[in-house]
Amino acid sequence: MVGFWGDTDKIVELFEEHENTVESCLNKFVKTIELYIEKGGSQEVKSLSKEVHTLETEADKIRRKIIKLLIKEKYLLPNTRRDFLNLLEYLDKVADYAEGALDYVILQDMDISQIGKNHLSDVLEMTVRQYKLLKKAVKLLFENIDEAYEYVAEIEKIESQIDDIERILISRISKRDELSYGLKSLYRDFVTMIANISDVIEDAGDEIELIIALRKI
Amino acid sequence: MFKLISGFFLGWALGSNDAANIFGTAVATRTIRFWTAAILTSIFVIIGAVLEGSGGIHTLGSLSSQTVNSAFVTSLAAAITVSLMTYLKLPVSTSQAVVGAIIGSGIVRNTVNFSPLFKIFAAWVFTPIGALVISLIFMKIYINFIEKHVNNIVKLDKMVKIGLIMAGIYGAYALGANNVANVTGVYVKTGLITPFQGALFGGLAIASGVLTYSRNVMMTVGKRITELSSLNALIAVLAESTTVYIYAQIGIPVSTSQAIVGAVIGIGLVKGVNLINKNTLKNIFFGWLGTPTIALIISFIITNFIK
Repeated sequence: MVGFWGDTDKIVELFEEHENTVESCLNKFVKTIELYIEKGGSQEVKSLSKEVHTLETEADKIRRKIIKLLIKEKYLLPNTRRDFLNLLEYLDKVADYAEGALDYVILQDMDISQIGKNHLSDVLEMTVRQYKLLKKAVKLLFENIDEAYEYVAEIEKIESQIDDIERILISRISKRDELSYGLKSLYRDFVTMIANISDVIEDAGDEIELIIALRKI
Repeated sequence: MFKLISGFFLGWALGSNDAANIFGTAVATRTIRFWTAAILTSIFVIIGAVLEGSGGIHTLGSLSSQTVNSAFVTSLAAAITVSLMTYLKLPVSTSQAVVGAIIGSGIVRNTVNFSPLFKIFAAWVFTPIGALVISLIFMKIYINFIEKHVNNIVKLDKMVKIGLIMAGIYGAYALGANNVANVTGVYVKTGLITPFQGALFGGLAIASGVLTYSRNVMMTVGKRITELSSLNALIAVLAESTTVYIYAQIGIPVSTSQAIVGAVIGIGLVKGVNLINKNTLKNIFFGWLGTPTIALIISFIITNFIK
């Protein structure tokens, strides 16, 4: 509704668009990594990787639109604008980190099948699930803020599980004598990069928690 | 009419200090622009003064008879007290300074009527307490009846934004209605001006302070209040405005600063946070006793000097 207080629905709409784009980027990233594990740096992987880049750029564009709108519109309190900008930053980082992790693997032509395929797949699946929860929590900020808490708690739980898997993977990599120090270091960095996506989703969840807490009596 | 100048000075000082308790939160959080706040405050202070300012004028008038000279000295002594304490960064209430100044001048001229003093002092003590109770009630009403209906960020922001503006307008009206007596009450008693002229002149004097010198105080006080969150600050301003308005109806000028302190303490109680510290209590007690005493001494000295 456009009126004295500005276009109230537009911000919700754009946030949703941004979240969907980041989600597509994340899904595409997972698909690309899974394919890379199977087939290495094939043409198909390269083409999917390009799509990840395109989606990340698209998310950036929407983010800039939201920033413009947040600055222009009168209906939000300045503190809310700041909080939404922080939240947006975290959401955008999900796509950034996914793109970064993918580039890291493809550009160095790493054989990540060595890392532990099952664990890696688990982490990717859990990250996608975690992001879905984040999307719901953001949506609830505009619908029913009290319910958003439950989703944030679930996001934290998944992050903690991913952390456990990260530790297991890094420990296993470190113990493998047949790997060179350089390769161990590359693998460890890649695992950390994948886990960082979950960390940033948790950061976004924390920001949501803060937004709600500061608006309660 | 030249003798009205000290009244104008006092009104100016009042406006520059007290606007912060009304729109400080909204301005400090950049919810509304300073000029919008200053203009709204000025308009509604004048309206409040003209429509409902006569009660306080009558009460202050009953404390002592006045001549044009004594009215001039009283206002001057109160204005000097307010300016001096503001300069020294001490807590100050114009209402309490004016009462002290009236008594100081009245003692020299042997014209003080001490009987309304108990009522006035009781009102001062009950200002923060009343604001505390009102803020508790408002918080309970919000939690039990409003919170569940305002469960999304955009709705909440709109409510707080509109609320801060409406509470500010209400506060400005209450300030005009309650505090205009401080500015021109003594002049009306002399018969130099009519109650209507006194209310209008006083309202304009307060507005001049708001428009020319309130920005810095607004930012300082506003930032302190908003440490609570915009929603809590809105409730604090509403409770303060309601308290001051109630005293306007009773006809006793009270301190908006002490009302807001009481309201903030009330919010702290609901949130389970102890917002009462030694300094807050010291400032309130100083307002009750220190401010009128200093004004009394200054007024006593000037009146004796002129005599």
